[in-house]
Amino acid sequence: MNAHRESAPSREGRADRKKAQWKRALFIFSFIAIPLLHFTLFFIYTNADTIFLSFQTFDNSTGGYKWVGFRNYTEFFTSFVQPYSILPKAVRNSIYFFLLNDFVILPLSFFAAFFLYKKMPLGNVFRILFFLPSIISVVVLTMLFSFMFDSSIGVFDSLLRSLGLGEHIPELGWFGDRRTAMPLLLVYCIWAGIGYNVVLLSGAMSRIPQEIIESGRLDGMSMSREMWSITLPLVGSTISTLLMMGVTVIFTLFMQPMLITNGGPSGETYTIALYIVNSIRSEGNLTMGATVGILCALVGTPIVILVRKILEKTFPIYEY
Amino acid sequence: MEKRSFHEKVWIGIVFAVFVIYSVTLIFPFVWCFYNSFKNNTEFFLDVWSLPETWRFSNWADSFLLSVNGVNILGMYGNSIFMTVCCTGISILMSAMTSYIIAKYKFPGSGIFYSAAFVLMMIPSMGSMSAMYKLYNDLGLYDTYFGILLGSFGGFGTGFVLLYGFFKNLDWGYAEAAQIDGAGHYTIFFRIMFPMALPGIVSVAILSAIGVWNDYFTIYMYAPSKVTIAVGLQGLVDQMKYSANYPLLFAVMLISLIPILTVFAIFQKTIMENTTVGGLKG
Repeated sequence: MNAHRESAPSREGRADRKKAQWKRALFIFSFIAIPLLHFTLFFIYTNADTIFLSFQTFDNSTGGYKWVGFRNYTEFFTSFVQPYSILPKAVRNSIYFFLLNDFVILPLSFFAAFFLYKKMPLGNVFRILFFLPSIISVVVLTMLFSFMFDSSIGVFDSLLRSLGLGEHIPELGWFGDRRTAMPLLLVYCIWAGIGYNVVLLSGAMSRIPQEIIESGRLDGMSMSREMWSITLPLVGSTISTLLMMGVTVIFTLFMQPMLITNGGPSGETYTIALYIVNSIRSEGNLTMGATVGILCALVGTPIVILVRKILEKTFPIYEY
Repeated sequence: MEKRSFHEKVWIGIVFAVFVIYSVTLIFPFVWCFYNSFKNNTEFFLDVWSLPETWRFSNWADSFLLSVNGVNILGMYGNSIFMTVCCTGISILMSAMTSYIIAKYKFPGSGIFYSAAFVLMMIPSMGSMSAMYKLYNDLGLYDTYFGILLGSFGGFGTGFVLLYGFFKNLDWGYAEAAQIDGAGHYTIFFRIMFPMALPGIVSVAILSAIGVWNDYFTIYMYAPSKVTIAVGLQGLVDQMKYSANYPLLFAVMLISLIPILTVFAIFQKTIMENTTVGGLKG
């Protein structure tokens, strides 16, 4: 059976080994050929074509794409500096979402997760409830959130009115008013996003070995001391992953504004990614979508690399 | 029993109160939609707070008559189930095969795959969306079931990273024993390694299925007439701007949640444990 392993390098043995090697290579190939093909088509080709598209424009007379040099790029920058352009707002909002994620949601989640991990009464009930938004479709969540603040059926408005604060309700509704639409979207992101971070972080905390904490406790360590000096550094790798995800939000977040306000009122809630999606889907302007994509990659890649470097320094990985 | 100072107890009390308030804001909208779904529209607009005077089940029945882009609720369910089962099945099999090869077989260049998969996970796919959209149109995949299924044949996503870990930890000794008995590479994978990694594979599959079920964007972008329940629900929200029949909408929304909540109730532990390890895109 296993003859080829022990036999002397006879002619038959060598042929056998050769055959086995062929079989092995064929097996490997048959398993990864489709994913590789998929990767070539859906990753390498589309990324290369994105670069091409950003230097092309759709020619209505021929129905194909023609080369136009840097015209898309100059068009982008001209429309960026135009008065009432939605692009500066889109960039500003994308940065807001990043700041919210990394400097509001994450610290709050860490704090909440720590208490959940420290045997909060009803801890498991909270854990399951907090996790619910992560398994429910963003369509349902945005729908519920808009219902709550709706001007005709919203319970929030009727609550305010019964408290005699009715005059504070914006005339065009919370999502129709230019001052309140964006802050409310940020509130939505906290409401729907915090639970996931809490569950993730408290999961990471529960993997910290109990001995470390007990020895600290014996030395009379307070809870706040434990939080800062033991828990924080030991869940550092989870925190830096979440911080990193918060950075990529600048270039990827669009579902929430798309479903709640679709960028309105007057572009107040646009984000960079929503601009790309709407260029493609609503305007059929593929080349502008590609141009913004390339610009994002040019600006984003150095930022992502830099943040990674900083995070690696700030949160060294501890083995335990 | 740990001893806590007064100071610490106060903090726990405050955080507990905040947790309770947050939990109420999470549950209340569902409860509110639930009892309002038994009202008729006039009664609902009269008072959005009160419980229904008579509990009408007509909305729940009528919801099956609604349609978006010519697809009714049952059709949406059909699409959702079809996509969830097929896309999850294909993508799990592909990631299992790919990660198995990379974890257990050495060949020139095999080392690159693992690090490449990690780097790729970090790169947002937003930028190349134009080109992807064009590709779907050029190949005639736009608005077809085939196009959506084709999209799940990739083996290098999140599933790869999770399953790579499972396969890496499996003892190769079983495979060697089988080899001595004359088993080929395929037999070893399908009859020995795959079943052994099954617990891991199932939990990755559950996470992935939840993602597909909830997915709005893929259908919205690449196959708008293949309305799934997530896309249909948003379509109904847009319809309601013209013919506001909210109680009906609530009923549809709650119906759409039944499968996901059932799965969560059964696999709650697996889902939450694997999320803390792998991560689930919301």
